[in-house]
Amino acid sequence: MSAVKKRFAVGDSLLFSRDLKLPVWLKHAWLFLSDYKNGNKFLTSLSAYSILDFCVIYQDILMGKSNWGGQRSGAGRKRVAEPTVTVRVPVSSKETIMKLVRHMKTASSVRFPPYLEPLLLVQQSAPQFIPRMSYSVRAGFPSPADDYVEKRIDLNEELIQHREATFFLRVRGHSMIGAGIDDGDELIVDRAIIPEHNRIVVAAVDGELTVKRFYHRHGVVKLLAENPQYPDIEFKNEQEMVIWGVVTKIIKSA
Amino acid sequence: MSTFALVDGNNFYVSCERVFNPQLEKRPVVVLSNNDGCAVARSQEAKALGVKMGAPWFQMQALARKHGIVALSSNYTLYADMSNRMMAVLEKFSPSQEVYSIDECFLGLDGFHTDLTAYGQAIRQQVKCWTGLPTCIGIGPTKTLAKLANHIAKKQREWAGVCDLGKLSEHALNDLLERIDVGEVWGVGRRIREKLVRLGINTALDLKRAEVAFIGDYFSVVTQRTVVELQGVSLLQLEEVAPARQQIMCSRSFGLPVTQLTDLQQAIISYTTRAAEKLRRQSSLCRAVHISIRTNPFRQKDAQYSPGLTVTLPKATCDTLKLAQAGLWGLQRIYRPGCRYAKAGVILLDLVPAEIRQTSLFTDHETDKKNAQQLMQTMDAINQRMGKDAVFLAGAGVEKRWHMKQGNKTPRYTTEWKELVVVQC
Repeated sequence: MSAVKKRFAVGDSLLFSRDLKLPVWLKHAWLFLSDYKNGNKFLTSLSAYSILDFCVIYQDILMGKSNWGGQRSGAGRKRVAEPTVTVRVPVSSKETIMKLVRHMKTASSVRFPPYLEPLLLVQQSAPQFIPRMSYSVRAGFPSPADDYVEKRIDLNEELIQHREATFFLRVRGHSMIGAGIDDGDELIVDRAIIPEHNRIVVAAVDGELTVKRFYHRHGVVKLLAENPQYPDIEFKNEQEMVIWGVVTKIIKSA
Repeated sequence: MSTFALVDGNNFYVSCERVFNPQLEKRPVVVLSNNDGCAVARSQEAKALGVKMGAPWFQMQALARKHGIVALSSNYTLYADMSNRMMAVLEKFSPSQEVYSIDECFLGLDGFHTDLTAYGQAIRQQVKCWTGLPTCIGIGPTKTLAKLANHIAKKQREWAGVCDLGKLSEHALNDLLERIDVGEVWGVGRRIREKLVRLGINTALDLKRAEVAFIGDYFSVVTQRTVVELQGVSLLQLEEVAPARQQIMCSRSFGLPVTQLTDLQQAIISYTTRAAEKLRRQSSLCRAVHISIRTNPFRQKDAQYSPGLTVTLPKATCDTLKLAQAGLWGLQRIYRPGCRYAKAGVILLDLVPAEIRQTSLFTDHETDKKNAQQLMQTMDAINQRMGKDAVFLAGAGVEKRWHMKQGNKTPRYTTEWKELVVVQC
């Protein structure tokens, strides 16, 4: 498509009521545009927001002079006192926009029954203050750290490898002091980890859960205490021991 | 052809208890219903002693003393957490999963060109290792057959916990079905079974060989479907998203007989609160509340009275306050002084999705509605964060004399920091 663009000035020739608020504007625009939707490339690509944007741009121009109705001094075409604005639009859309402008000039304000009122996007007393919705509104200076925002550390993610297989247990006793496990500590125990020689494990021995270091060498299985005052657990025939899970972390109060 | 697996936790509640208390291993254990009424789960050892499902605990006392049966109060918080863990492990084994109950789920195994029995064993092993829960797995070309296969895997030791009916020849399959009572087939309840037996259909094989049209003469389309499914044609699909419940019930027995209206009122409010929470969790509204109270039918000397009443609401709601009001209004009408009440219940009926609520001619004031909604959201949020009943309606009572008996409830090992498993060190 050739990039030729035609100037076209809107000036103050458009007539708008001051109390014509943005939503009503939008309705006008939407009704109008929907007529032309099929024929015009520019319009079919318009999203609701760009229509809003479009309206707002024109509103700046249009509303500035919109003393609609009644007598006013200095009526008629302005000469020098009132500056005009030039707006660039794609050639292909010129006709459509002109039609819209013409349409809005002549159409009476549409009245909608209250149940058809769309949600008010903005509620402003004076149209001059309508923000341009195409930007996100930001108060103050944008944070320089904006690009560096990351999720806060989540201990569940850091400390737990297999959610379904992980349990918390509370320690009672002193047999593992040498391994840094004290009475009252909480343990994170993962059942999905294969118990290997030298890992700290929770084992069920004679119907009781206990924490010990797992010894598994040359066909010998033992549970070692880490406190000289406690005996290691060795297994005789017929005695049953089941490894319940592997201790991965110890939680202590400081 | 479709292939389904049904994975089922063995003696689920008992197994959950055993994970945290290895002492219960190899001993007869029963888990009692709410209020320690009757057995709702039995270990293999307890079954062997002849403890029946649903048997009232007081009738078992002698047997229990003689054999050292351990009876535990039900700890649903624990079972629910263990169930979630089990389902999460199972989820990894198939692209499609239907959680069917707290201890059962279907897995879709379409297009798994592996030895399904070996795959089943791998599933069992991982569930056992990760969660400590033993399971059995049934595999078949239809959901009904998978369910039946599960029954076989559980009852017949030689299957080692995994039974794949798809692998059997027609002849071998029929042989197996011939030895299974028709009442064990999924969807055949006690009444249907009785009727089938009267028609000469005694085994699963008989039902499989029955004419679909003949079955249609006596039973509903559901039973017809069962026959077709037994023949190996899959009609029931996996329902991966649980349908919203059509009614929500909360009913419990009291810890001791209740005569006062105020106690009943407290109970009705508490149960309504619980039911309304569930209602909001599934984003539904309800249009009627049914309340019921009853005396203890086992105490034959007492005057028996068990009324119920449905209160319709002018407008669908999920507001605990409104529902409780309706419940209390109904209670007022059915309460009769002088009776010893043993149980109360609340059922929320006529549920509709929250988004299609019909507005009424006499609508509440908009702000009232908004406030109520906000109040409920806030209550749910607080209770979610700070624990059940962190805030509740004062009408539910603080002391709750009528509260359930749970004499032998184990700690909530996995959901309550103060109640962690203690491990000797």
